[in-house]
Amino acid sequence: MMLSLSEMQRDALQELMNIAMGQAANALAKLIDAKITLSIPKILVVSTAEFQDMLQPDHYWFTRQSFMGQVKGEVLTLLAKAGTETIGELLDYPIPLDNASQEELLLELANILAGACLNGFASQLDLKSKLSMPTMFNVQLRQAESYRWHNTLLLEVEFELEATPFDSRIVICLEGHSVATLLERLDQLLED
Amino acid sequence: MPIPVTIADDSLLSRKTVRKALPAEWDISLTEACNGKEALAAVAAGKAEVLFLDLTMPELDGFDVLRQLQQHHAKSVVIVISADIQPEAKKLVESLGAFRFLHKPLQADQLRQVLSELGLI
Amino acid sequence: MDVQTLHQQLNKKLPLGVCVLDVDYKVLYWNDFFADRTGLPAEKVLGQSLLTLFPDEARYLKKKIHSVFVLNNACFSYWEHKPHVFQFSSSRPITGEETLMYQNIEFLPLDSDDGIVRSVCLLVHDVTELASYFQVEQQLSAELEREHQALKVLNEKLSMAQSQLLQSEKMAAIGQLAAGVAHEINNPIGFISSNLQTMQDYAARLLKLVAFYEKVVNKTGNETMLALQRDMQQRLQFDFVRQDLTELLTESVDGIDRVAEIVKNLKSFSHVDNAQWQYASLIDGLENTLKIAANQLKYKVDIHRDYQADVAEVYCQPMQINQVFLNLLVNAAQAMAQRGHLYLKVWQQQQQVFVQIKDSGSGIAPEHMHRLFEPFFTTKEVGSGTGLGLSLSYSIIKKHQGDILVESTPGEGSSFTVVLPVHAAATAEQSTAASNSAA
Repeated sequence: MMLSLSEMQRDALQELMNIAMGQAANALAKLIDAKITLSIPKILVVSTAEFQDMLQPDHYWFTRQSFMGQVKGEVLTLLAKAGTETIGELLDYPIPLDNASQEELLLELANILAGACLNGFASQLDLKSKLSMPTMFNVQLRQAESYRWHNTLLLEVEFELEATPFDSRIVICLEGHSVATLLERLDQLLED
Repeated sequence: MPIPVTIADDSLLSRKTVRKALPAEWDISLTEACNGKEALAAVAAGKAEVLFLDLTMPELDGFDVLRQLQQHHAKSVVIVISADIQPEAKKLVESLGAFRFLHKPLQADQLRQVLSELGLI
Repeated sequence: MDVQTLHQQLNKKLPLGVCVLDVDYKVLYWNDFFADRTGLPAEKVLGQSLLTLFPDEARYLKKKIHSVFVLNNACFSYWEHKPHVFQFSSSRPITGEETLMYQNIEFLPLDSDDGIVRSVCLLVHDVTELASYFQVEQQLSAELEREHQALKVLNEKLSMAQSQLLQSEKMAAIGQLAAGVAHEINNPIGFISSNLQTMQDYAARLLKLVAFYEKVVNKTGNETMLALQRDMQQRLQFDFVRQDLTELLTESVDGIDRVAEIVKNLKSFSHVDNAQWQYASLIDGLENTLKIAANQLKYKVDIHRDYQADVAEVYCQPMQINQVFLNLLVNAAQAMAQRGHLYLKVWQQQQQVFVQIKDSGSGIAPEHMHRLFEPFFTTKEVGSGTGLGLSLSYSIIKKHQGDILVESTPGEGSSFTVVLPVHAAATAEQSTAASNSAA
């Protein structure tokens, strides 16, 4: 079952992500005293194999959080390995970071960004969803077959922290049924 | 006399959202613009006594529209509605003559309050 | 049950710590889980700041709670990073041992439908059981890993020992073969030699007789006789034969002497007695081995000897030491592509004897130096050489409580110096080795 989005739906999703992103960046900025820039969000429909290809462990840490409610899925957060210490300092972690502190930092960051993004997104669509706690995600251990969804709607947002090499990406993956729910809501919003 | 109002935003969803948030009792004639150029054209044609303006648009963005309006001493009241909520954007927008900066997602009651301040409702 | 009673029951029985705070971190509510473990019932703590109630954890708690107020987003504390935020006690599964409680904590925004968070709820989960199992599992994994490593090392040792044993057995077999062949050849060589010498004698006599007949015929002055003699001598190419005969016989005697010498060397190199531990001259061993290696060296190498006088005999297994010398000499020969020089030096310093084999060959690249004695390491092409030679030599010398020192300059040559103690202490290994080779 290959998903396809109409132009209007894509446009609408784009706008929703814009807003959710703005909120996420704002959230982070409240805790960190630094300027955050945002890229234009990307909306993709990818197969699990294509998704697997996107995960490159050389430059990024990965965390995952599942969410449940009226929409279900997972949020993956990619956090650049470069600049982790800078952001750690900004978030008041003891430097240099030991392994435990680093993990703590990454999970906290992922939680903030994913939380803001997903909440912003879901609330605009009036869909209730609760995020579970984030865990570190070891890319090598997952095979494409083990993913629950065969197709996923990927909403990708990129964050950059000014003057540091740190950047982060949030990928919201929706399970098949949830995509239908989402699109239904979108259509409702687009109705007059 | 219906007040000419223009909503300028490249996103269809966003234009609809603003439209739905407008107070029902407000007597207006509505125009929609999907980029800066169309927004300016609407102002020139007298169709935008009140202009709801997004910042990130193709062709001409919200900031440039504001600059142009300032230069030509246009009489439109501009209310910026944007997803970019960092403080610098707000400052810049207000210095360029916008009346108010509202965050997306738009709250109907906030909008109502601004319009009430302007004496429009 | 009415809702009120239900709440009371939950409050008492819930195996979860619930604590609600307002924006000033003041306690609005906490359940029995907290009350029981702090000894402070809810009434006593209402209105007090959580941060003053738990001053040691205040910094951490404040950071977490603050972010919930600011972001309107739940946040979490993990036992793996911060195992004991609240110093509560709990018990381990199975042993029932008392221990500090391991906690996972969720910090939730409450009362925030309009986006402004007015209170935060802490949910404290006792995960001591989980943590205990996890830790045990970690320990088991670590132990497993250690055993695995130890096994690996053992495997490698066994593998090495096996190769060495194989090589030793090969050498022993070759030694026996050589001894056998030598023994067999000895007899025929013996009588060929003796026959040749007899033939030299007979040849001499025959030639003398012919010379006598020649004289007699010449003395007759008879033309016919003289002509007959000349004719026959010419037909038989007698002049040539007379000369060549002696030469042929001399060469043959030389040749057979050489064969006898080779057989002798082979026998002494592979002599079964040499497997025993005994005091032996390293110089003799070196020279013996040199003869065996002679054909690899002869046509291209000048040999220079510098042997100190009165070098003590060394307690060793001569056959094994000779094997080492052979390995080093052959390596030296192979390092010298065309002509070259071989420098052999033997000297003694206190209770150690040094045997240095130096060549003027291609030398050893610096990056290979630390791998020379590694089993199976070779710079030769596949198929030529096993890469076992130096590693075996090294282990033989080590068994003799000695050492092999290497120096090399690429393009100039290499030198290998074998160092052996004069009186190596006898060990169990040596007696086993001795009994093995005698078997």
